[in-house]
Amino acid sequence: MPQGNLTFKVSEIDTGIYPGLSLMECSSADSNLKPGQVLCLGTIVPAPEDSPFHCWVDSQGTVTLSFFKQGEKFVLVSNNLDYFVLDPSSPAIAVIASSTTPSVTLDHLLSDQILPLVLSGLGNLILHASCVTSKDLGTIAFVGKSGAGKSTLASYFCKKGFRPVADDALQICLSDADGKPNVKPLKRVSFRLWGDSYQAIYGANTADLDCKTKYDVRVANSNDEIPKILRLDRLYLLDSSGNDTRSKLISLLESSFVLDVRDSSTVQRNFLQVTKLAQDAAVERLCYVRDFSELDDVYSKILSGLEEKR
Amino acid sequence: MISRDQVVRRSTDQMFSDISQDTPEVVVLNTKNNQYFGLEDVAGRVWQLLAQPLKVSDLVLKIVSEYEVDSPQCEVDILDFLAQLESNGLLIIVPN
Repeated sequence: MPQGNLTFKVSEIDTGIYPGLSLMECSSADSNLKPGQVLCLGTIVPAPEDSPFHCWVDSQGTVTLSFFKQGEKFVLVSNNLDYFVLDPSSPAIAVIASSTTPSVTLDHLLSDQILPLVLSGLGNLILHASCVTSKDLGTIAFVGKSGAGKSTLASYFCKKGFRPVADDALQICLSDADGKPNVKPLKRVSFRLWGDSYQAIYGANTADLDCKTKYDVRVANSNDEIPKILRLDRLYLLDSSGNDTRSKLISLLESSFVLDVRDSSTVQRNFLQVTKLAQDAAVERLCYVRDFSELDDVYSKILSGLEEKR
Repeated sequence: MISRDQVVRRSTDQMFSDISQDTPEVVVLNTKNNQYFGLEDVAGRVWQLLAQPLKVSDLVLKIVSEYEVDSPQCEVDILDFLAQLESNGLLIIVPN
């Protein structure tokens, strides 16, 4: 496990992003916490000797999150050395943030990576996906690794009038009377964009943005704008594997959040859920190589596909 | 080494999803190491036929009858494929 110069910091964590999960900050363990609540405290210093049992790697090959196990506890470590400790016997998550991590980044790590992993651990199907919706055209999701262009595409669609549903992590609800999958929109969505993406979408006044820094684009959804649950009309896969059903299913499996990839029952449950999703949802592969000049083309093609379907 | 006279069956350490539409297509999960395998066309068909324990020579006959293929070559290819399934923990040789 990497050793960092750890300084505990209470972050300004947005509350109630996920329906059914609430975040709270406490200074010490609170026995009144209910399952699903999140406790932030900095009392656990992870041991440095272990090696991770699993890692998330982005499209550039950089490790973005390392998974460690200490006894029954999961310790998740970001590339900026923020530690998140999940203890199955407790409803709390311990957060030990690096002193150099901005609050907004910590907020994103929690809402886009750690909480989705917790939700997945509770039996939910969560995909690495950004999602947008339009009253007239329906709800679509872009699925792919970090760096594949999910947030860029979703932001672009929002600039064109779609409403944001989720960025980075998307909660899927499989069971529906008509057998179609649904998604649960987040109460607040903010897209995280690299400087060059931000510039390509939001224009020339942003010339001083750094290509290697992520910027936050917050888009608020008022409660009456988006229903609590939305029919998912189409999934677009952003990787370059084959276009056959088998490759699409494997891409979806590789894009789902699984807290413990070594736990057979968890992996089997996820396999069944993703298989059901692949059967029930329209899944297409999208050729988008993060070339901003193609955004408008991609947008037009997707739009005409959606209009055709209607 | 698997031979044509042996009986083989799917391992119990797997689960799979048959997503066949026009042609056989299966995704198999090895539940011991959580690896996924995509099997298409003839490979997918072999997997479907292995729903029951099957003698390798009978499996070859079945494939030869369904696909217009040369029997000796088909046997070589199927033995090679079965060996791959076995080495990935997806296939068991049934003892006599």
